[in-house]
Amino acid sequence: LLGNAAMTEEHPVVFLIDDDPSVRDALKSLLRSVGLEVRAFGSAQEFLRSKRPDAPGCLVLDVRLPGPSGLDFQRDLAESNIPLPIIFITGHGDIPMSVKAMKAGAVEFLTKPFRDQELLDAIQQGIEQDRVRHQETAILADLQERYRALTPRERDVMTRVVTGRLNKQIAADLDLSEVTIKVHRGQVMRKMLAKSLAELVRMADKLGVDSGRS
Amino acid sequence: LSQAGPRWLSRLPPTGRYGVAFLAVSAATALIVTSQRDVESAPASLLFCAVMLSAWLGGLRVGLLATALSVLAFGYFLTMPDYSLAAHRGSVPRLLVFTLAALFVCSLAAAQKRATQSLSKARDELAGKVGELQKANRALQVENAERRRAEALLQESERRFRALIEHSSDAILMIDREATIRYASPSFERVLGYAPEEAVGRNRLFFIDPDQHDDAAASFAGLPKEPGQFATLQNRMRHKDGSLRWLETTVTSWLDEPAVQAVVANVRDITERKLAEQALRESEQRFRDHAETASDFLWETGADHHFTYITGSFHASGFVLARLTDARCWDLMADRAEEADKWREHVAAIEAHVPFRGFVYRTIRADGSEAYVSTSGRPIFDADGAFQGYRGAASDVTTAVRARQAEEALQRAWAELAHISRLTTLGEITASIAHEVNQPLAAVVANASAGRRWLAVQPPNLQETRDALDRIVRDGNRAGDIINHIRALLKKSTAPRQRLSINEITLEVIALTRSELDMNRVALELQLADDLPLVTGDRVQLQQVILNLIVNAIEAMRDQGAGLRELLVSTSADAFHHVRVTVQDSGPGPDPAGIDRLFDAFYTTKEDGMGMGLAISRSIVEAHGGRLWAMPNAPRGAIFHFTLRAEGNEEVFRAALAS
Repeated sequence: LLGNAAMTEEHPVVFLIDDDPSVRDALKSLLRSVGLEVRAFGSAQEFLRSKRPDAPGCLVLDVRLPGPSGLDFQRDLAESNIPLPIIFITGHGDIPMSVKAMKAGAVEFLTKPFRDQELLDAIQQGIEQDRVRHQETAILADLQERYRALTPRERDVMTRVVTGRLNKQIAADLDLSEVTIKVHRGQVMRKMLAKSLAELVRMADKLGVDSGRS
Repeated sequence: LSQAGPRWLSRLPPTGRYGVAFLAVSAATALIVTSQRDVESAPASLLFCAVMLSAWLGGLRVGLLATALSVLAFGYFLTMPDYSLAAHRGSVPRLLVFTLAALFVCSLAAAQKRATQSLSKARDELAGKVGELQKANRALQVENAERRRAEALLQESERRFRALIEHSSDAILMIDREATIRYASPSFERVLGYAPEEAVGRNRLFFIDPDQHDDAAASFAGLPKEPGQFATLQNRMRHKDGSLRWLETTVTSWLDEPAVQAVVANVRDITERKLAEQALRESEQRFRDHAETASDFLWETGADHHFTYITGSFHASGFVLARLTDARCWDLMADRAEEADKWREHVAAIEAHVPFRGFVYRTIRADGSEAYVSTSGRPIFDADGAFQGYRGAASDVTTAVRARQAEEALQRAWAELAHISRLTTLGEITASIAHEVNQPLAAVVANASAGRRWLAVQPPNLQETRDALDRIVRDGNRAGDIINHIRALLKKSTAPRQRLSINEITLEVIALTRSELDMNRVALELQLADDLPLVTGDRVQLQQVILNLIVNAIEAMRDQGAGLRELLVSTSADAFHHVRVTVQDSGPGPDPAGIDRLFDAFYTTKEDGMGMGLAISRSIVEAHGGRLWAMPNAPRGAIFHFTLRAEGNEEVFRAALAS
C-alpha cells in the first residue's frame, strides 16, 4: 500500500473539460510542455464516463458547457464525493459568478484569454492540495489496515491505553491480570508500528477510536 | 311757683311730700314761738299759711297732715295753758274754730290745686292732640307727592307705550272673543292699507285670504287661553290694494284679564321674508339636487377635521364611512404609509387652514377595491374669523388615475423595450462577439505559450512547436472569420428597406427616451428641418443608431450639474441631398487623443461598456451608404453627425457633376 501511494505521487493527472476543441488542443499542448499528464474531455458526461486513475490531480473546467453549467457541475462533483480541486476558465466571467465558484471551493477563476503561468500556478496549487489529501487518505487507509489486524481484546486494551489509564487499572477494568495486560499492550504497539505511547495516541486520534467509553 | 312747685314736688318720694307738711308747720310754729308775743295777735294766720302751702304743694292728704300738725301746734302753744296739750275748757271753742278754719283752708287749697292740675292736664292733652294731627298731615303730604310722581311716571310710560305701539312697524290689534277687532294701531294701515278706524269693528277673517278662512278660524279657536302664553300664526291676507300678503301674527290671549279682555295680536308683513325663504328653499333644493345627482361629492368638516356632511353620491360611488363623524378627512387615505410626505404636507396645509385643490389620494371602497379620489376644499371661518372647518368637493378619479398609470406603464414598457431591443441587437451581438472571439483568442495565447515552452525544453521539441504554430494560424483565421461573419450579418439586414422620414424616426426615438431624459433632468432641444427628403433603409437599425447616440449623450452628461445637461437633436439636408442627423451634448466631450478611436470595436470610456455601440452604429450607417463621425462641441461636450443618402440623391449628384 505504501508503495502504491508513493508511485501515484510521481504521476499527477490534470483533467480538462472544454467544449471548444481549439482551446482543448492548445491547453493540452501547454500542459504537456511542462510535463503534466492531461486527460481532456468535451463535456462533463464524457469525464464522468471515463475511468479515472487513483492519483492526485485537478480539474480545469470551462464555465460555459453544453448541458449543465460548470458551476452546477462543481456542485454535482462535491455531492458525488469526487473531491477534485477545480480551476474555472471562462470566456467572459463576471464577479458574482466567480464569487460563487470560489465560495464553493474553486482553486482559481480565470478569464480567457489568460496568461499561461497563471493557469500553471493554479494547477500546481490544485495538485498540491489533492496530493496532501491523497497522502492523508493513504495513511489513514494504512492505519485502518493495522487496526483491523488487532484482536478484539487488543483493541479494548488500546482504547484504554490511549486514554491514559494505567496497566493496573486496565487489568481491573477487564478483570485480567496486570501481566496479561502488559503482553496485550506490547502486541498493540508492535502491530500498530507505534514507537511510543504518544504516537499510538495520535494514531487513535486519526482513526477516531472512541476513547470516551471508559 | 304754681308750676315749679308740683314739678320738683312730684319728683320727691311721698314721705318727702309729707315732710313738706312737717316743715311748713314747724316753720310756722317756730316763727310764732320766737316772735313771742309780737305776733301773738295773729298766730293762727301763719299756721293757716302752712296748711295752705302744704295742701297746695302736696295735695289734700299733705294738707290734712299739716292741718293735724297745726291743730296740735295750736293746741300746745296757743291755748291755755301754754305749752301743754291739756286743754281747758275755755280754749276748746277756739281750737275747734281753728280746726274748722284749717280744714276749710286745706280743702280750698287742695281744690285749688286739683283744679289747676286738671287744667294743666287738659292743656297737655290738647297739645298732644295737636302734635298728632300735625304728624298725620305731614304723612299725607308725602303720600300725595308720591302719588303725583307715580301718576307722572304712569303717564310717561303710557305715552311711551303708545308711541311704541303707534310707531311700531308691526301692527297691533286687539280682538275680542268674537274675533272682532276692537283696536288697531296706526301701523295697520301700513301693513294692510286699512286705516285703524276702518279696521275696528270688523271680523279679523275679513282680512284673511278666503282660502285660508277655515285654517284661520281653527287656529284662532285653538289659541292658548292662559295669559302670557303666545302663539305665532302665519296667514295670507288681502291688502286693501287687492294684493295678497303673508303676515305673521304673534297672538297673546288676555281675554281673561278684566282690564284687557282681548286677544292682543302683533301683525308683521313677512311677504319679503316668505319670498326670500321660498327662493332660498328653491335655490337650496336646486343645489341639493345638483349635489345629490352629481358624480362629484360635496363634503364639510368641522373644526376638528371630522366630517360633518357628505352628499349621497359618496355612498353611491361605493364608498362608505362607518359613522360620518368618526372619520377625519385623512382617515380615508389608504396611501398614507407609502406616500408619507404627501400626507404630511396635506395635513400641514389643513392645519394651517389654507385652501387646497386637486389633492389626489388612494382609498378603499366598501367592496375592498382601490379607488382614487381628487378633493379640493377651502376653509370656513365664522364672523369673528374663527376656523369652522372645511367645505369642498371631491370626485372619484380612479379611471383617470388608472389611465395615467397605464400610460406611464406603457411609457415604461416602451423605454424598457427600447433598452431590451438595444441590448438584444447590440448587446447580443457584442456578447456573442466577445465569446466567439475570445475562444480562438484564448487558444492562440495558450498555443503560443505552449510553443515557447516546447522550444525551451532540452532538447527543443520541434514537432510540438510546429503543431502549436499550426493551431495558432488556424485559430487566428477562425477569429477573423467570426468578425467577417458579424459584419456580413449587419450589412445584409433581413428587414425590408423602407422609405422613411428621418424626422419621424427621430421623434419615435425621442418618445422612447423621454422618461430617461426626464429622469436624468436633461434639457432637450429639437430642431427638425421641414421638408426633408425621405431616406431608404431599415427603420429599426436607424432607430438603433439614433437611440445609441442619445443614450450615449445622456450617460456622458450624468456627471454634469443638473442645470448643465443640454441635449440638442437636429435634422437637416445639405446641397447634395444628404439628410443629416446631429446629436449634440454638453458632457465632458471626447478625449481629443481618443477621438479617432471612438468608433473602434471594444474602445470604451465607460466602466460597464463593451465599446461596441459606436462601432456597430458606424457599420449600420455605412451599410446605409452614409457616414458617422464625431467632433468636440464648444465649450464642452461632443457632437455626433451622421448622414444618409436621400431619395433622388443620385440625380442631384450627377447633375452637380455635370454642371
